[in-house]
Formats: sequence, structure tokens, C-alpha cells
Amino acid sequence: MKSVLAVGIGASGLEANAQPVGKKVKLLTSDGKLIEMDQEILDQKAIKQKSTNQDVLNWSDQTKT
Amino acid sequence: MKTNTRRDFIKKGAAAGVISAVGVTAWLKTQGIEETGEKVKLLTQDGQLVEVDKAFMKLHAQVESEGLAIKPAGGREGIPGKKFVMVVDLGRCKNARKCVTACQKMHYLPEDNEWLKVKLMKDNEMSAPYWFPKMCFHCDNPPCVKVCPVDATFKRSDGLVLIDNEQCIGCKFCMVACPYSTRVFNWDEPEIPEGLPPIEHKEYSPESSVPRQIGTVEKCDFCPDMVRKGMLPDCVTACPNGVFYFGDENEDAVTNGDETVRLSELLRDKAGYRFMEDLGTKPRVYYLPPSDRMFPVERGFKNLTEEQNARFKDVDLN
Repeated sequence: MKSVLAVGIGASGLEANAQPVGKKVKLLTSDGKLIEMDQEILDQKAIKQKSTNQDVLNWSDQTKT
Repeated sequence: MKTNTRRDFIKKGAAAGVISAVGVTAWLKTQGIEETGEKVKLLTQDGQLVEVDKAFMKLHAQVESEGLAIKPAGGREGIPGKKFVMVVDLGRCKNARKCVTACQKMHYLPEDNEWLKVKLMKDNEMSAPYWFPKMCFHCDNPPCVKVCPVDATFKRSDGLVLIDNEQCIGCKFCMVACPYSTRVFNWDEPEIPEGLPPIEHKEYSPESSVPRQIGTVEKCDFCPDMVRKGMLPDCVTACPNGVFYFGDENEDAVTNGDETVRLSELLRDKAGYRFMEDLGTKPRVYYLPPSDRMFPVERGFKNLTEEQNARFKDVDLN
């Protein structure tokens, strides 16, 4: 019960001025733009895949028509 | 003595995880970001593909543009690690003037004010004339910077020579010092030319050169505000014939929008040269000689106004 309360209080505290201020990572879009994303968002919100060279080649060919 | 049991450890770990997850979600909520369900694949630095929601892309595009936004104070600092350079392929120019009009549109210039001029050149009586686009050469040894009494014109670490119009007193020393006559004086109260939208950012920056200011000197700036966003200067993208290559000397790469080539190879293979090299100003603009021309020079006279035609009346076309 204590733990649940602690989580609740912690979450409400974060709500006020929550902001991922941690490490930023650079990512490349398939059209060649370099973007920065918070490591935390990447860790929690991204779907990671094991990519083969072919996957990366197919991905880079997406924008070439 | 209190010892941490395995159960305590798992509890604390789970709590920390939930707080962290709630933190990111809460932060996204405060930013008004809602997941769209549409996923975008991105490449990480270690070569793995990750899928993220498109909403986060928008968010980070905003963050990126905010971070790189033009700041009045920042206009004097170059883009770190860059050394911008331009190569003009004279064999491809047919005086389509798309570069000129794009530049005018970008900088809110009236029709009679050209920061980029297309000249008709004829080197000697025996040789044929050719079109020669001429802009500021952003010299590495700029005479204009040396003579400015108020430090209004300056050289940046990324190679660009810019003017701070808020500091310029309009003495025109720089215009006299420039051996290429690329600078123009703004005599009139600037007005937004017809058909152009209002200027988005009211705050002046030497990087955008707008809003323009009466009684000051202006010139080609290599569109640093575009370059900062990872885009090419407008003259480069507007040219239908790929005349202008723009890029970074440090990366040894230039592009005209269609093809990307090694700067060193391009200059070596096509005998690139700098205009009036003997002056020692070390321009950052290179020219490729007008050999194997794609268009007859006469093509460039099409669709010119009377005034524009009159500029070339002294050049013998034969």
C-alpha cells in the first residue's frame, strides 16, 4: 500500500514539471535527416528490432521512387 | 538492522520503472503530444532500426528547430565544424535567372535589387561569350571586413561573410573595398514586394538579413538560416540546370540538389578556378570553366526585360 502511495505521489510530482532531461541520442530518418531524441523516450516508446543489412538497405530505399 | 530483501528490491525496481514511465508519458502530455499510431522507422547510431510514433518525430522536429532557431546574438557565430563552399558550373548556365528571382524572394528584395547577378562574360575577342552568375564570394581574406570601421561586416568560423545591418552605418567602405562589386546599398525604405507573404520573424538577424534596413549595405549571405536547417540556399535549389553546387569543404562534398560529388574531385577533374585569384582574397566560390556548354548563349536572352537586355548590349556575341 505504501509503495502504491509512493508511486502515486512520485507520479503527481513529475506531472508538474516532468521533462526528460537526460541523454539525447541522434537518429537518422530514411530521407537523410538527423534528428535528436531523448534516450528515455526511445527506451520506453520505441519498438526495437534486430536489423540485418538488407533491412537497413530496404529502409534507406523507402524514399527513392 | 534492516536488510533489503529480494521482495523489497523488486518492489523498488518496479516503482522506479513506473515513475519513470509515468514521467515520460506525463511530460509528453504536458507538451500536448498524443500518439497517432503511425510508426516511423529510424536508424540508430549502432545501425539498428527502431520504430517510433510519428507524433514524437514532430515533437523532436520542433525541439530541433527551436534549438537551432536564428538568434540575433548567434548570427555572428558560425555553424560549428562547417566550412561552406560553392562551385558554379559555367557550362550549365543559360541565364534562366531562376537563381536571381529565388534569391529576391527569399530576401524580400525588389526586382531592381539583385544580390546575385548573372553577367555576360567574354574573355577575349577570339572566345565566345558565356553566362557568369556572380554573388558574394565569402572570401577567406575579405577586404570588406578589414575596412569596416564599426565591425558590422564580419567573417564567421564556417566561412560566411555576413553583415549586421543593425550595426552598419552605411559608410560604403566595404563596397569600395570589395573587388568584385557584390555589395549593394539599400537606398529606400524596404517594402515587402508584391505577392510575398509577411516576414515571419520580426526580429532582425544577420543570418536572415530581414527585415532589411534603409541606409545599410547588403549582399548575398549564402542563406545561413536555410543552411542551419540542413537545407540548400535558394539559388541552388531554384536552378533548373544544376549550375550551383553547395556544400562543406570539411566534408569534401558538394551538391546541386540532384547529384552529390566530392569537392576535391570536381575541382580537380573540371579544372575549377577562383575568380581573380591573383588578388589573394581567397574566395569560397569556385567556378568550373564554360567548356562543353549545354546551351547556346543566345538562349539566355529569352524572356528578358528591356532593361535587362540593355545590360548586355556592349558584348559582341560573335
